[in-house]
Amino acid sequence: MSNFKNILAIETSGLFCSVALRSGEEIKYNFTEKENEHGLVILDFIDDLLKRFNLEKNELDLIAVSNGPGSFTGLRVGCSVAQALAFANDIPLIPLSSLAVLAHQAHSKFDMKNIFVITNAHMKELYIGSYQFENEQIKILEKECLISQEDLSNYVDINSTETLYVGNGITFLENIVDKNAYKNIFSHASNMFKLIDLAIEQKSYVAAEEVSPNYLSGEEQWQKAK
Amino acid sequence: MLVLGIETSCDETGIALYDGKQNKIIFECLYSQANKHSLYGGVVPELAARDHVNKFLPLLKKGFKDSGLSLKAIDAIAYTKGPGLRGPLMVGASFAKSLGFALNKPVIAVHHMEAHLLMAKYDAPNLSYPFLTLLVSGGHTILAKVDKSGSYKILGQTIDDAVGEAFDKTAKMLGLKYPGGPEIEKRSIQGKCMDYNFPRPIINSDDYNFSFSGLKTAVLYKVNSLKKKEKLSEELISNVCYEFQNAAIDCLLHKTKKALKDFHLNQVVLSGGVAANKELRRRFSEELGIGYSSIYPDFSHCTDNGAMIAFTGFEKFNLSKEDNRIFVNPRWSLEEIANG
Ligand SMILES: Nc1ncnc2c1ncn2[C@@H]1O[C@H](COP(=O)(O)OP(=O)(O)OP(=O)(O)O)[C@@H](O)[C@H]1O
Ligand SMILES: [Mg+2]
Repeated sequence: MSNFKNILAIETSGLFCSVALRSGEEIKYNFTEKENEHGLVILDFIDDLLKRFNLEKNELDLIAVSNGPGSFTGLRVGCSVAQALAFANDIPLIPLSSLAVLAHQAHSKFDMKNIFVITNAHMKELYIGSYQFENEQIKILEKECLISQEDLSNYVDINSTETLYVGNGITFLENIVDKNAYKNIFSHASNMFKLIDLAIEQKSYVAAEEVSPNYLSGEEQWQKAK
Repeated sequence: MLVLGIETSCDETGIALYDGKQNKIIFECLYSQANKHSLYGGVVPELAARDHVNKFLPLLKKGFKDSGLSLKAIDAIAYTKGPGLRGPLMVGASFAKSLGFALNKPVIAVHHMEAHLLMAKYDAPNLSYPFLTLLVSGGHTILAKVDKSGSYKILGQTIDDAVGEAFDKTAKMLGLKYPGGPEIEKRSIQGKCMDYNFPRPIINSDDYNFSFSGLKTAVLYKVNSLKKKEKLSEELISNVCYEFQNAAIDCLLHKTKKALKDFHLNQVVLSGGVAANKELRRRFSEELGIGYSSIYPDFSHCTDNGAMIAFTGFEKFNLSKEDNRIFVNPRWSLEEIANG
């Protein structure tokens, strides 16, 4: 399908660290249910996957990393590890939106066309993104952004049956009508490969240093707090 | 043996390659974020961590490109594991561990303050044990006895602000930019001795501790009362700088002399950002007295840099025992070097 035979996927944007490796058609993964242990587990996870496939470190062909938005520390660990491994092996990187990863995961699991992702950004804020899946393509309906919890109702139609709401931010929705339209799920690296393939098709892989965390909250915040 | 050194404990991204066999630094690259933090009058940890991620690879690439060496040629990687700011430290740790993992090279955890200190050994190779050390930086003011490599006994330290922090805060009061140390040093040259009577807190206490908070407050009162009378002229600013710097150096010098005498030592190694201060160096060399000497790293190696991490990594190579886990030790004590 592509000349990238061995692809590593890293997901550290949420509370739980997961890593997946696809070699040919087969996918293997590791994940932890312990919160915020990204740094402690990530390299051992990768090491273990390589061993299970009988691969050497320099046999990786491509690395994808979910680069945000999400936990600042998690994103930095994920991006730094991805950058360092890519640079040392002289291979490209694919950054993927953590919200799109979650949307795709929900789409393939629940077979819904419209997915609205809401994740908790803490400090009374949320990350949101709205996606549509059609003909194996992903379309962004609403640009990913950071909003305050109070504003959530302005973005969400709680009576909708067309849209599936997912992510750990849905707990902030009030007066939910149809409980089935809301799923509190976490993203997992093993679900990144569909988006990775799309990115490969579009040749949207880049050099290691071109990837950085997408925090969705910039320096203005600190300027204000000054 | 080539050791790559990685420093990200605060607001400078430092990367260097040290050749242990030739005792030579092959390259060193430094990116300082000082201008960014200058806006806030001090380091904003989250912003510092962000900038380290962005600057790391470009710096690393530049170093290897300029030196004509390949990354694969290195034998080990040393990184600052602490003490310092958690977020920034984690970035360096993540890169260091991942590079070590990818290249199958050992990774060595380095104590930031030990690196400041040992760098004096690089620039003054015939330094012999035991000696006294005075570490004066943005986060620390430590007087310690060094019996042998890796064995530190802290005799005293600051009970409130670090001396570098006092320089920075004083500079901020005077409207000078961050970091304040070099600014104050520069202004002091034009400054004159005044009768401001700035205090030398706990200078006569029967221990080896320091205190700079009272000095800082005295400067604040003085600045406020001067401002009431007239606009703070360049001349007044220079005078306040001069008086402040003198008071700070008096405190450092006095306790150092006491420790040298009490512990029968004749050499003191100074390092950390404040040790780049020329007036401090001049006074130490003139006032310690006959038979005593003060030793420093090169000026460029007093403030944070990657070379001190690479050099220390080489010195500690045989003691290294780092696994794949990425974690840091923001409050690592100098006395607990062995249990990082
Ligand atoms: N010429 C100078 N005179 C006085 N102080 C100086 C001078 N140059 C730098 N400094 C001070 O040194 C400090 C920076 O030194 P350094 O980089 O060693 O500190 P740090 O790394 O922030 O703290 P630490 O090493 O304790 O973690 C700042 O407080 C700065 O004002
Ligand atoms: Mg320092």
